[in-house]
Amino acid sequence: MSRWGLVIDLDRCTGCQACVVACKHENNLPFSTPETADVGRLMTWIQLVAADLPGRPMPSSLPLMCQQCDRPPCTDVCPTSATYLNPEGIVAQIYPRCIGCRYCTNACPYAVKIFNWTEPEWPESMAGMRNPDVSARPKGVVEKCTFCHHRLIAARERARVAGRELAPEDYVPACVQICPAEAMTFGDLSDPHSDVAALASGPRAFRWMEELGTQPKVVYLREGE
Amino acid sequence: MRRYVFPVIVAVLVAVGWVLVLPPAPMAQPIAFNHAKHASAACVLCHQGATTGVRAGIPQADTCTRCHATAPGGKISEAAWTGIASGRRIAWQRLTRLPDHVAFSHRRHTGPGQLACASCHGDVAQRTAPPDRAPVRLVMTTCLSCHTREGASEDCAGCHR
Ligand code: HEC
Ligand code: HEC
Ligand code: HEC
Ligand code: HEC
Ligand code: HEC
Repeated sequence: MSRWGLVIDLDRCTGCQACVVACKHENNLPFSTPETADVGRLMTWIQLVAADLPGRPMPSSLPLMCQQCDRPPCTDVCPTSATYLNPEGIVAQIYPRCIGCRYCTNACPYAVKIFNWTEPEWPESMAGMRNPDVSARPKGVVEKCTFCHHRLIAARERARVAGRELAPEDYVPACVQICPAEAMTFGDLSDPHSDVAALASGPRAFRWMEELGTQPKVVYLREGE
Repeated sequence: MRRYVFPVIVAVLVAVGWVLVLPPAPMAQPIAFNHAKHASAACVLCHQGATTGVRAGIPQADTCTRCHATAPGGKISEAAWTGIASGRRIAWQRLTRLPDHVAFSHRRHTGPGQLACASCHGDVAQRTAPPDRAPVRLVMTTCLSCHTREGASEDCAGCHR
């Protein structure tokens, strides 16, 4: 069984926000205006946050999305089991099961589970740009990064039709695909020969707030050296 | 006697309300299409995505006119056919439908899954008139019971998106 993981090299990340935009497009996220951001209802599954890293004079910008914890605090508190750790290590959110109680948004130390305050509406001119592989979440559910799980289902289908095994390049989330600085590496952590496995056990690797014991599968690489 | 009055009034009101609010609304197809008479054609001739795409699709006039140069007879009038043959969109109703939060791909099931259409759609192919409701109701337990039987994924996130 695969264990999907993501490595982000902070030495390469320029903070350009291409991943943020690609994610919004891929996953049918509604627009956010300055007004929605002001009231704390910004809708993005990835955000760049300022992080003080040891040995750095200035805060670094750190792309933060669901850390796909192996010990996710959010799933323990869900009263309906709408969020759970799936067999391949992705923290899933089953929207029709979610009652919008927001226990999970509060339990998440990374604040990356986001309550949807708006109906899924887009301007007329953008109606045709909806990704048909991703649902439009209704108002009143909590949503989050899924490592573009729909891409995994589609990739597995293509591989099955071609009669071969899933290859590493078949499944890559939108943010990794777009990153112009090639700061992001995605793959199977349980495969010892994968790039992610090598990077995640390298000397520059660290996990965000790892002292909490959440065991994230998003791994950051320290700057410098 | 009096103790029956109230229940009877309620029953009558419910019955009247039922008729007014919920008229029986069978889904009427615009053409009385006869699957049984088209049994000689392959399903994918008309449902082009059924083995290669996510959606099976329901054919438009350009597919019909490949065989029907003239009106096919049956329950459809000459005049109605002229309108269709001239390329007017046929407003077929999709009867089998899943909610937006479910991911389903025909190709996955009819290709590598090697499932017959009938395992999910019942006897549609033998019908002589369009069904007025989905011939088989596909709900979560229908999907899951086959997935359990066939050893396919039962992970919630596989079907829910
Ligand atoms: C000549 C074209 C044609 C062929 C061949 C054909 N169909 Fe159809 N099919 C249609 C049309 C038109 C409709 C819509 C009207 C209706 O429901 O009868 C339809 C409807 C259906 C539906 C109902 C979809 C829904 O909304 O639930 C199913 C299922 C279906 N067909 C299966 C099959 C199968 C299985 C075969 C092969 C055995 C087949 N069809 C062959 C034209 C065709
Ligand atoms: C593969 C060739 C083919 C295609 C494509 C095709 N038909 Fe037919 N259709 C036939 C044949 C052959 C018959 C005559 C069967 C008979 O009379 O025994 C027929 C008969 C009919 C009839 C008369 C049925 C009856 O009850 O007597 C109708 C109506 C009809 N077709 C509608 C359509 C429509 C609508 C389409 C497009 C969605 C279509 N057909 C596509 C071959 C085709
Ligand atoms: C595993 C179950 C399954 C099998 C096997 C299957 N279908 Fe379907 N079919 C569905 C479901 C579910 C839908 C509704 C899809 C939706 O709403 O997105 C559907 C919808 C349809 C429709 C309605 C039009 C559309 O595109 O939504 C047609 C026509 C159809 N199927 C034809 C076929 C034919 C022909 C085959 C065989 C080649 C087939 N199906 C095999 C489950 C199945
Ligand atoms: C008659 C049996 C049957 C039914 C009914 C059925 N499936 Fe499947 N499904 C399968 C099989 C078999 C596979 C595995 C195909 C393969 O070998 O790749 C599968 C695979 C899938 C996958 C891919 C899972 C993954 O992890 O890649 C999805 C998604 C799926 N089915 C959704 C559905 C949904 C939604 C329904 C109900 C509308 C449904 N299925 C009904 C037999 C069925
Ligand atoms: C094989 C595919 C499949 C799997 C696996 C699956 N579902 Fe579903 N689910 C469906 C389909 C299809 C529907 C829509 C039809 C219906 O309402 O039954 C649905 C509907 C639902 C609904 C909405 C019911 C309603 O009344 O609106 C909920 C909630 C739900 N599923 C939760 C789950 C949970 C939780 C899991 C994991 C334990 C799960 N599902 C696994 C296919 C699946």
